[in-house]
Amino acid sequence: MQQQWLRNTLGLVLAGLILAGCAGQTKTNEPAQIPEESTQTEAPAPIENVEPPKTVDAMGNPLDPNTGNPLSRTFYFEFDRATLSASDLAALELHASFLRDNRDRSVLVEGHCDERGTREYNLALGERRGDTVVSFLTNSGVNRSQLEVVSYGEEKPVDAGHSEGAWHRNRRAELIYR
Amino acid sequence: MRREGKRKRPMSEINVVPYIDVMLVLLVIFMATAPLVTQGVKVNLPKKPSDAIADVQDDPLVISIREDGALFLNLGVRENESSGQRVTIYALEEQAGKLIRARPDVPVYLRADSSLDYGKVVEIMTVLQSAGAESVGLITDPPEL
Amino acid sequence: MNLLRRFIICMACFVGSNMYAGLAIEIVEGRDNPIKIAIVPFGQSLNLNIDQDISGIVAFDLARSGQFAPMAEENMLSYPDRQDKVYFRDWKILKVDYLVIGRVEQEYNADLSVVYHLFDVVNARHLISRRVTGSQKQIRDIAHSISDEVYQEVTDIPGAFSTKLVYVLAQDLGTKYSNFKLQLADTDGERVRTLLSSKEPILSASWSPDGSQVAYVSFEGGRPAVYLHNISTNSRRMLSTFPGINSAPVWSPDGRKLAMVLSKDGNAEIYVRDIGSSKIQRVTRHPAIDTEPAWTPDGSSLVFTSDRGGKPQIYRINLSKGITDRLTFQGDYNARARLLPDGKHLIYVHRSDGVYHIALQDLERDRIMVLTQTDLNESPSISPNGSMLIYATQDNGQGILAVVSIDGTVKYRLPSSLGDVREPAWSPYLKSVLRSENL
Repeated sequence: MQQQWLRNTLGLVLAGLILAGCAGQTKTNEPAQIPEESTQTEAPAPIENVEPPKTVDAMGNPLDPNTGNPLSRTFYFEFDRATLSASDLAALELHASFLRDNRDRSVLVEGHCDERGTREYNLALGERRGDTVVSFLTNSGVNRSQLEVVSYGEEKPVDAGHSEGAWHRNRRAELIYR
Repeated sequence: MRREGKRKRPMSEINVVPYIDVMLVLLVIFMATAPLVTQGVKVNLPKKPSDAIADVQDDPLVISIREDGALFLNLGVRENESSGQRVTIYALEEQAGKLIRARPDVPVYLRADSSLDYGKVVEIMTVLQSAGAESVGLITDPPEL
Repeated sequence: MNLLRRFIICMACFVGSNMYAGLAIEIVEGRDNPIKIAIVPFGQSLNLNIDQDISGIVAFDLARSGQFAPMAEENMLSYPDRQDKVYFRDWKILKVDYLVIGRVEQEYNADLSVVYHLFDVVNARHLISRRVTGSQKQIRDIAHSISDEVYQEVTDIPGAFSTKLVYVLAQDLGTKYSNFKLQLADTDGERVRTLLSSKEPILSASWSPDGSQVAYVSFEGGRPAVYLHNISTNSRRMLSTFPGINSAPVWSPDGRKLAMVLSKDGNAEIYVRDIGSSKIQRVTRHPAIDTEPAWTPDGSSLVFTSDRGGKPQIYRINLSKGITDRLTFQGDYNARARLLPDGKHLIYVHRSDGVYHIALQDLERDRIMVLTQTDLNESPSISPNGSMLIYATQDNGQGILAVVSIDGTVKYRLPSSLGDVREPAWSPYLKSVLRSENL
């Protein structure tokens, strides 16, 4: 985990772009990320050469039009809060623009919590987090019918640990493209 | 190291440690009368004036030694039945051991017939000691005046 | 106390060796002056070969209630199995307060019948003589029913040893192999049965008042849905799968309705569903989170968690009048309340200094007592006799179940070697499957 953190932070600094902390990113993200770092210098070149720029990766997830890297699909929250952090808004706006351009694509927004607090309350809190993301996207012009929210509360941690770090990684909303 | 060497030296004396132990136990003993124990086994108790045992109601274990050396325990019998339960010396050790493990503060009393020789009484006391009894009370009849 | 400890270690070894799939019990704390009881190993006729130690099960039941200190078998001076072999003096000298003896016989149809007696040693009185009959498979039921009778006779509180637990076993969390099981077990952790196994989360199990069904939330369809599961037939049906949240089902005291949380109308609100007619009545109407309903014993009101005041607190709403009042004011996180059978005491998760405790609040005197010392405690569920409660907690990062008495003096833990255990629900009194008669 820590190594990956480091790697991501490095990538972030080098690229000088907005990349949300992706320590807890899902498995599907990883294959795309590893070449990103190992072929740092050459990566942007082929993308610029391809005439119609690719908008999605092999998994059908949207790419950042500026860098060609996969868009961050995980957004983190403070404890017992459902407000988006300012640094995530740019990435969410890119998701919104992708969804506006691709009205046939839909997204499942999963809301998650850390293990603290009661399970049923967390189920409602996770839904509130999902709803926050959905209302941001709909305010940016995405159709409500393209979006669905499911809250898992604290039931599906990405990190089964019990530290502040694990709790931080688990308090999240994830966008799952379908 | 030195101590071990000492221990290995051949013994040239009779081992008196158990006797000293018994004597220590005897020192702790307090002579008493027990008006409650008027049951069963016919034992002539030594006549000796002494203080009555303070709390005779505290469910003590009473071992009686009859004139012929037979042992009796105040267990396994109805309270109103007069005779105790006759036991072997092994059963005495086992039962006393269990009782003392379960209830370390149980008072233990010995009622020995006055005609018994000292050795027999010491033998029973040694058994009680190895069963864990810290002190054994000797029961006497009040002297006839 | 010392005796109890020794006994517990002894019993823990015994129970531990018998564990295969369930929960192991570790007694943490008992009452200071427990009642001393001797449970003599039950006699049996020579042709019988019962591998279950009935007297051991009874002794362990009584020991984990914390009210009793059963004496070690090996220190007993005699081992009577019939009434005429009992000599009170043998027990009085051991300073035992109560004595249980019994004998197992085989009926002509291979059923087992256990005749047992309870004596008051101090007053040399005979209290119970009873025969319990059941099949060979019901031997643990027989033992628990003996524990129930003895417990009630001595303490005047009905025993709850014959009741059951459901809980969730979660394995390999945070990996792609994560897996959830809804488990049913005796309250001593034995005889575990899996009701449902799923790759997706299961939570919020709740018993019907007659003990025949369990309602729970399962994500097996990719979204939360409420199911009703019949314990004896092992069949189930989906009850509620509205868009959004379907969670926190709890049965009304009359068993006809289910309070639950739905977010179909925008955000988490509490609804009451009539199980027979499927009619749904909305109870709360607030943009804040309203969740975790629980019925008052008279069925007239619900208590629930809401963050309408900014932080989660517990409120009560009268169902006919719709009047809401706030019940908790101490601390900034009070949630998942349950009421004691007397309706006057509230049990809930209470955070103080960042630690999640289980607290008991006297609703009449508004006094709060924190019952637990460890962190991350949640999901309290009360035994039907109102004397104990089971909750989920963590031990070295592992989810375990723990039990504490309502007065906070008795504690034991039920860890599982198989994974994280959580979401316990204590059953109501169950209909006995045994035949019994007083002799």
